Amino acid sequence: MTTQELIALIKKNPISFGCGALCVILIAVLYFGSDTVDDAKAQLDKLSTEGARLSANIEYSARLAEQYKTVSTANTIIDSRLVRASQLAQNLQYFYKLESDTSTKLTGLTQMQSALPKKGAPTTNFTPVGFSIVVDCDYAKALDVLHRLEDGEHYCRILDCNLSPKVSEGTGGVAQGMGLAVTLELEGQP
Amino acid sequence: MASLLKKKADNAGPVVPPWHPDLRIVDLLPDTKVVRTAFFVNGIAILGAVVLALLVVHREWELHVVNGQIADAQKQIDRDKRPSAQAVQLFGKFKQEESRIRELNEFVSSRPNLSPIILRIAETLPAKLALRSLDFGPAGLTLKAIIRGAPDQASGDASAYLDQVKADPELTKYFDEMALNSLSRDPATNRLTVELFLKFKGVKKS
Repeated sequence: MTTQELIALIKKNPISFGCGALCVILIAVLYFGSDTVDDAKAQLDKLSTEGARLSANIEYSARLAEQYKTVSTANTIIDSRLVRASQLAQNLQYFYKLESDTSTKLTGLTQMQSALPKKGAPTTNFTPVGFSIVVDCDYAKALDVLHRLEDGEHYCRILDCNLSPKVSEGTGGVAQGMGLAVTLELEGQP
Repeated sequence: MASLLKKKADNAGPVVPPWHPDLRIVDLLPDTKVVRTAFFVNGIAILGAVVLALLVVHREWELHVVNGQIADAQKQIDRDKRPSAQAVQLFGKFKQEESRIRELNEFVSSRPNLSPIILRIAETLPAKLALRSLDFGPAGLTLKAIIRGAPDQASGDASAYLDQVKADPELTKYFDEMALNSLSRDPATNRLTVELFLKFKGVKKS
């Protein structure tokens, strides 16, 4: 078939050839644009997820400012109740005041050295300060001392505690009151 | 008659050639069919083009709708971005403050309060027992007491006290295991000394 014959055939069947050409163009359009909707949907999903995340952030932060204020105030109070490991005199004064308030006798008082944090250990907000105290008292006063330590001005954790009769030399084994030996930590900062 | 109805055999005789030559040019002759072939060809071509066009239009419409949704989502993101960032920043500060409270709470609750335990022991101590010593260690409490009375009855009193401690609703809040460590006679006083060990809850046995 020559070109002229082809042109004659097209001229003879303009509709079918026109529609055929249109079909070829439309198929090309469909083929080359086949990913556009999927891409747009993927982008929409991504944006929807991001939008939902942002909305959730806003929704959940409705009372955050108020809650932040509350914890911030609580932390101010906590700070005022911490001991400072470097302030030895003030720390010991706390126990002497305890002695005075409970009418006991403090026969031993030591502030222990704070252990250096281990390498790789998680960072902490506080550094507990250790103390060792020995008190001469009776059972009721020992209870008073422990109660004041646990519910006192500073945050306290009792590690070891021994309450036993105090037997002095020359008393023939007869107990002379009680001895309270406590190893404790007060929450503090360096 | 029956012979006339019989079909003649194909090889009845030689095929006779047309009696004159066929001079028609078939391509130039008009289509004389009731429905012309061109109608079907055009119809199929138009139908195909229409179907494909509809597919393209449908896809473009779908794309238009999705693009509209993308624009809405982007607008929402632009609107929420700043308040969200502020909320995240505030939450970071909140977490920092909260971690201090959490750490302090862990510190305080890592050991039980001793004063209520001592008070409870004193309140529930039987008249026959006299406390000798209390020793709180990392694992629990060692309680020593002297038992008044004859030694033959004292061992029964020690067991009864252990049962009482095990059944005490207040003490069982702090301790999960109670055991009789020793029961020995003090030669000087001829009295029995009982030693109980009360293990703190959550402490592993050494």
